[in-house]
Amino acid sequence: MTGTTAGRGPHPATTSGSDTEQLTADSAEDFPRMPAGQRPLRGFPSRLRCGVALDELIDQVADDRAPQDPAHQRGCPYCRAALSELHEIWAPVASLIDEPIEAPPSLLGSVMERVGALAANNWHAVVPDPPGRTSTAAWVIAVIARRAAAAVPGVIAVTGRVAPPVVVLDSDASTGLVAEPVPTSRQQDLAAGTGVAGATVVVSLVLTADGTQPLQVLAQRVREQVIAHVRELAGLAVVEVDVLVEDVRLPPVS
Amino acid sequence: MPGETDSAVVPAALDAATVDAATVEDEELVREARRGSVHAFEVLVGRHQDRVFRLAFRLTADRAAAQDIAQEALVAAWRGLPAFRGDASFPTWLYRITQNAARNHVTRQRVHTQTTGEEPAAAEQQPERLTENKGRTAALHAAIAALPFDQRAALVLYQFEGLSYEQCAEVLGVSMSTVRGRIARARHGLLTTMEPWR
Repeated sequence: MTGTTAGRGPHPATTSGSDTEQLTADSAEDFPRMPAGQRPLRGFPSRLRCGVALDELIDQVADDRAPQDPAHQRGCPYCRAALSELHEIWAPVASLIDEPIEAPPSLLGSVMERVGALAANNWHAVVPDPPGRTSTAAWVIAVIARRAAAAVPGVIAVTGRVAPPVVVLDSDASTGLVAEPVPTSRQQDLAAGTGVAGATVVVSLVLTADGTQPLQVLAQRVREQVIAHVRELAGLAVVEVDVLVEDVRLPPVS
Repeated sequence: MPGETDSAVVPAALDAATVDAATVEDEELVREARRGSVHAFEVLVGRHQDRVFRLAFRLTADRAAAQDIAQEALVAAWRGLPAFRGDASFPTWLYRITQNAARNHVTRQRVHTQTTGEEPAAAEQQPERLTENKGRTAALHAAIAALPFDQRAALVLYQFEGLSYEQCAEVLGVSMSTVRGRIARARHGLLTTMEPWR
């Protein structure tokens, strides 16, 4: 704001009577009138007669900071009068800043209720990949499993989901993947459908079959396909594939 | 890797008040919440809900709206955690989400008013319409609520929440000079409105 200081005019000569009254009268008469909508403050010009920009004083009051030019301000009736008025007008704003505002007691509960519902499908399967580890979101694994199942001849439609295994294996000989030991807190999270699972998952699928082959045979092919795809794409061991054949659309009898 | 695993997981007791949650840094809680720990997120919400609600209230001057906005913002924070990289501090990030939620709320309210012709809510009342016996505090709340949203958000973040110009710019996604301009205009607006209440 040094530019503002440099632009100031000479300090005003001593005026008779009250400085404040004089300032107000001069403000109305001596400064070019701005359209009402553009006038920053009704009682003030944008620049005082001493040349100080009103903004500078507003910042000083609102930020409660020291004046840019203390020597000038001490001797300038325009600045002192304007500051006095600005302090008075700004006082309620300053007191509002100190007003304590606390969240209502119900906020935490209502937020966590919704978060809990969202988190139910928000767990990740984690494969240790030194020097880091790879996390795969549950819904990604579900997509892989569903697409693998849908590609099996005889499957018309498929929905399904994945879940962490209820019993976490210490190791899985078929894949060589080592499931992470699950600490108590993690088991609690997983029981609630949240948190981080190990490298093993359970897939549950609901199929519509086309009725061209025995359903048990179809289910077995789906299992093999799902296990192979999830292992290949996500690096995860599917320890269980539960298949529910919910519907069958038989070909028309000729 | 049992040892590593144990240290990486927020103790279950965090939600049971047997551990002093104040000793766990935001960064650690955020890290665990990003991995899916609801408990860690609950501690974060408990720690920051006042500032989220306060910002929402000061942007709307309406407690019911502020609660809706705060809830929406905190749930959005949970959804957005995977994308939160820690470039900003967690509180700054929450401020950003909250002011966005408040902006959406105010926009929806304006559209509702325009399409239904219903009277604006109390928060949108012009200060001039308030009767004198409601006092200057009510006038001030209304004066803040009557500022254009961009000015109001900058003023509240800087003046009331004590953020720096730089942090305001980060929250609002604009330059520091834009923040300065908005704050200056907001102050002019408030002073002009409050002048008769001296």
